[in-house]
Amino acid sequence: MTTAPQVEDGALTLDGKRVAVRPGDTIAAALLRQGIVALRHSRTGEARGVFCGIGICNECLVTVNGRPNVRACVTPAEAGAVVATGRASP
Amino acid sequence: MSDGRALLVVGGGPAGMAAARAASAAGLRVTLVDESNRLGGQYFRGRQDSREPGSPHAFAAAATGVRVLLGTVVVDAPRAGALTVWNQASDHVEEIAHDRLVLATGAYDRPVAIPGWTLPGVVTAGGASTLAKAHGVAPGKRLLVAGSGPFLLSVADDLSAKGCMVEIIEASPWRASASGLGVIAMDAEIARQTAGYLARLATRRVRRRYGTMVTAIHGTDRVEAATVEQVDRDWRPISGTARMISVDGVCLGYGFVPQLELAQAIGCALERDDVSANYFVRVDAGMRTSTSEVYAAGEITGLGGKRVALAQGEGAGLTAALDAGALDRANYDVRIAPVIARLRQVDRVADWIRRAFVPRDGLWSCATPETTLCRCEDITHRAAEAGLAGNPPTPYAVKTATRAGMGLCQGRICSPILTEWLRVRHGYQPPSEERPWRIRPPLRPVPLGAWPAHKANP
Repeated sequence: MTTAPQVEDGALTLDGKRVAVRPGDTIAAALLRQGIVALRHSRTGEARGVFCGIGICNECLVTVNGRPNVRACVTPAEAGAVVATGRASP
Repeated sequence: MSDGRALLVVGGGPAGMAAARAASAAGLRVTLVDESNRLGGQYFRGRQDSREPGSPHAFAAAATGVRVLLGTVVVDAPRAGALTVWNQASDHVEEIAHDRLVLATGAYDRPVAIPGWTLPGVVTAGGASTLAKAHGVAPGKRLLVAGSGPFLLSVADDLSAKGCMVEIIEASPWRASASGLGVIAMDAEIARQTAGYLARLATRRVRRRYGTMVTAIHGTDRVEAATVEQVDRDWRPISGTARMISVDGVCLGYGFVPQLELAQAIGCALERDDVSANYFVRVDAGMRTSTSEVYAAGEITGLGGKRVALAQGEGAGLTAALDAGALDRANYDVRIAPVIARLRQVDRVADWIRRAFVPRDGLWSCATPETTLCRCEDITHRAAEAGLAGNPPTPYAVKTATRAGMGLCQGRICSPILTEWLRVRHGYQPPSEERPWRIRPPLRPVPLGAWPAHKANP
């Protein structure tokens, strides 16, 4: 038996919390379906989330499987992905 | 070695697909690249199987000879005949050589800075439409779709179809919409589409308010309310008309800004249209830019919408084939004539939209000193104002003093706002033949490890 945290099929984790994903979802879409709009904090600490929705503005940056600055609005939501919010832009 | 017949098309939306298809059919070897993992551009996002003319479905059936590279981002134009691209899946940067190039890079929603526009739950109208159509989600349950132009009807249709409570806040007066009834009536496709929107919006009790504007958005960590005011013909708020509406999302749709970064990097001549407060790529009747062997089609030449993009794309593909010697002049003339006729027909509605729903100067006066101007660097209008001290009011002066426009989006969001704000508030005259801001390569943020030099020396 493994002691690693188990993630069900069809879900990612956001800051340790389970979020269901549907086929074809982007990370932003999966989070918005749960009503999660705030994805990170800006340089001065303001909450920010998806703005342009098409990969241009870089407001929806999250960390995915340890890789920082991933655009949630254009990145496919893969089952088992470990997503973290709260990072400021570099 | 080159026979001059290798064509690279950048952008897999309606214009790019039409260009690739026409050029391939005329005998060019065509490669089509797009950033997304699906063809169709923003117009067909979430509707790739649509049977509409110019859809990805139609393209796949007809343009079997085209090499399609998806998930591929153009990051530089190092010299004539080569583009540097980053493939996101393989995380690899490489060069693609070509003899001719069609730019069909599309547009994005015009950003506008109003108090509270950085709150989570404020999204662009196009972004909201994409989320609703492609994924069935929305930024909230009670939404305002605010801005100007018929696109608001389409976005409100998409969002109300998902069960959201939606209200349309149109800044232009009702007579701007009414002024198009004549051209709409003469265009069967648009007439049918518009009637469909209005019928569905009525069924779902979507209210439309004309001559009103969202002038502030409120909340702490997300949208909680918005201030809506009646505005005059210059979109300046009429005092005493403000009211607060409780909402959890606001979709902003004040038209579009062409994606000109690659055209700029190549050095194609641009021209400013003062009426729409935009820059476009200058093209001749055959869609040739000022740079030889480079063509442009679709939104970057004038924001004409999908049908104009299809005709322009086909025209660009045919002209590239003519210039490459794959089509002779007589053959070209026969094929281009119906394209030009179609363009003239569909451009009537596009031209009405361009003239009737232009942003008015009041839009650039909504920001207070505390309102964020540059979202990447958290620069306020007050800081921009302070940065101007003693300098002529130009976007460059603000950029060097404050770092506005030097963040990850490289000014795509704040530079169009800054330019018009300086014009309205400080008498700045935007240049007529070049955008007053530039973007340096890489045109998009690329992970350092993707570059060949880093792969060679790990």
